[in-house]
Amino acid sequence: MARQEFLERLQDSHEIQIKKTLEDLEARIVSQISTLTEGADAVSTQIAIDLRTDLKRFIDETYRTTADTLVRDYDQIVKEFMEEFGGLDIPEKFKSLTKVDLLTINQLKFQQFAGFEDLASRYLNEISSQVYQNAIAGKPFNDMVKDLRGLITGEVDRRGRPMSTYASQIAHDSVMQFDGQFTVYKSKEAGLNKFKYTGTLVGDSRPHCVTHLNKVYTEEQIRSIWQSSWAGKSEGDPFTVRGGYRCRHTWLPVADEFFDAEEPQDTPIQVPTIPRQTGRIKANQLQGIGYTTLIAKLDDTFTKNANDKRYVINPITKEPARIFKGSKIDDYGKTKITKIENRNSRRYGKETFEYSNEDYAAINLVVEELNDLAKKYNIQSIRGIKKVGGDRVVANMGDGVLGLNIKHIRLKSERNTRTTSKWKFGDDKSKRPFTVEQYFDDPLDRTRATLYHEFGHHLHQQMFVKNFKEYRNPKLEKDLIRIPYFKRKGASLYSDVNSKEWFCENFALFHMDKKDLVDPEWIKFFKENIENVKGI
Amino acid sequence: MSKEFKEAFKLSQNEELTVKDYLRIKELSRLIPLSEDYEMGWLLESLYLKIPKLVDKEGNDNFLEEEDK
Repeated sequence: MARQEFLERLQDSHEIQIKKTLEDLEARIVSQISTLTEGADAVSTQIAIDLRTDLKRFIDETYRTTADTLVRDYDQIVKEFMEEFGGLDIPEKFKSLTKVDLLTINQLKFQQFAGFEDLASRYLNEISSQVYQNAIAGKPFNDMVKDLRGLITGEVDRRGRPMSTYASQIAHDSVMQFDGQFTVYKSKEAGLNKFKYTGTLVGDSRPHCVTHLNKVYTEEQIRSIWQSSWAGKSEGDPFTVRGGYRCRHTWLPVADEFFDAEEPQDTPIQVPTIPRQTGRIKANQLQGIGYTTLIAKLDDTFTKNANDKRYVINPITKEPARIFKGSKIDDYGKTKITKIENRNSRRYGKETFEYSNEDYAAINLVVEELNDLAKKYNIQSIRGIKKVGGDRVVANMGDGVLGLNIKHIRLKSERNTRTTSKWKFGDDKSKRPFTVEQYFDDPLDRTRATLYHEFGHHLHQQMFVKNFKEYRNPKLEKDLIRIPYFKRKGASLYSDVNSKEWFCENFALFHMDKKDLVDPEWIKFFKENIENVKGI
Repeated sequence: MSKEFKEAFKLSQNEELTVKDYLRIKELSRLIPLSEDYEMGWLLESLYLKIPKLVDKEGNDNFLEEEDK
């Protein structure tokens, strides 16, 4: 796993752990108060005073213990760094850890733990004080519990930020701070003075990070650049604070030889211009393009799409929303497919799949068509492509990222050898093809039908969604579920699966000139809920 | 259509799944004949879309199979 990816996962994992431990802390405190009050409606001042000892113990047993575990995890950061560092063109003696290094690591860990400690002390006082004040005021037990929940996990609204928000930020930033501090320490030891600002761009990346991403600077240049001001800047050493609070970027030391040979400065990456093939292009009309060309083109497209402000932000993490499993923020703005995939499963044995240049052209073309559809319906375009297939899924869509299974989504895949269906409404329903792509002869049309189907999911997941709450329960999905099963008809068996698949199967047919196969009920729904609303 | 596939199809028709449904569909996906694997790939597509709500409902993703995490 690349160091950057490892750091991102570690940050996420640490945030989850610290949030869970605070939930545990909250539950223990509430339970203890409940026990001490023995059914009384309010807490006495004596109980409030006595409770302070319990609070300290609970914090030690939950939050402090977890913080200690998290800081111990920083050894993994050192390991990841050393693996990457070992690949640089530096003298061998710097590629291993010395006793002094180990002492430094401990010192750095201690510094980070102190951040967690400060918060524990502050909230021990705040929680104690809250309980005591409530006792004096004779506040009912339930109200006191609400106040405590607001203070610790923030599950109940209150003024000010809860402990959980601060703790998760510390958990997140401490990982990157430790990494930054160790990076600069070890690099200086090896005499390296140049660093590359690395990481990925997401929807709300700071302009400062966007400007400096993938640039290589000397330490002196970095310190000079970091003297300027920008929104979200955090004061401190540039190697530690990077772009600011919750910044996911990191510094990578660069050896001169590497720098000179592979990192020419100020040469912008050339995004290839691929002439657009207009109209309903068929597979035999495709003009093949290379893998590198496709990736450069789509990465550019998806980076722009990922910056679309219509993509919702998670209010807790302040990062682009992400609710689908297997989806990572790192997928946003990226084209993560490989030329060849070798698979080995008990079910199929060894299999190898490889995209052709025509497949790349097909993906590029259909993504352009999906961008057109996004414009037409005034929603954000998809922001990434990733490979899927571990569980044999054909394709999928979630969080604006399209998943493609190389086994099926190729012009020469097995599915494209299946006969074309001539089914029409009025024929025996059991003779319908499983999915609508089987109404098309042309392999590119079959790919198009599948990707249009996936875009249908994108539409019901993103359209009319304005905030994270709606993101988790989109309006269109709620509307769809209200259409009773017996009212839905579909030209494929798959459209019988549920309302979302019914929507997407019909969506693909509707946009691929097969309106005779589209359910009239779907057209009614589409016009009432999408076209007319959007004024299309 | 095999009886395993029919069962997976029927379970997939639930607009809101339970953990039990999820685990059963995953199990069935490994029991169906190879000839139905492509169609099963679509049912797994539909299953993927239901995971966020299922995780919300459960409060955790511990029940998910590794390939879905």
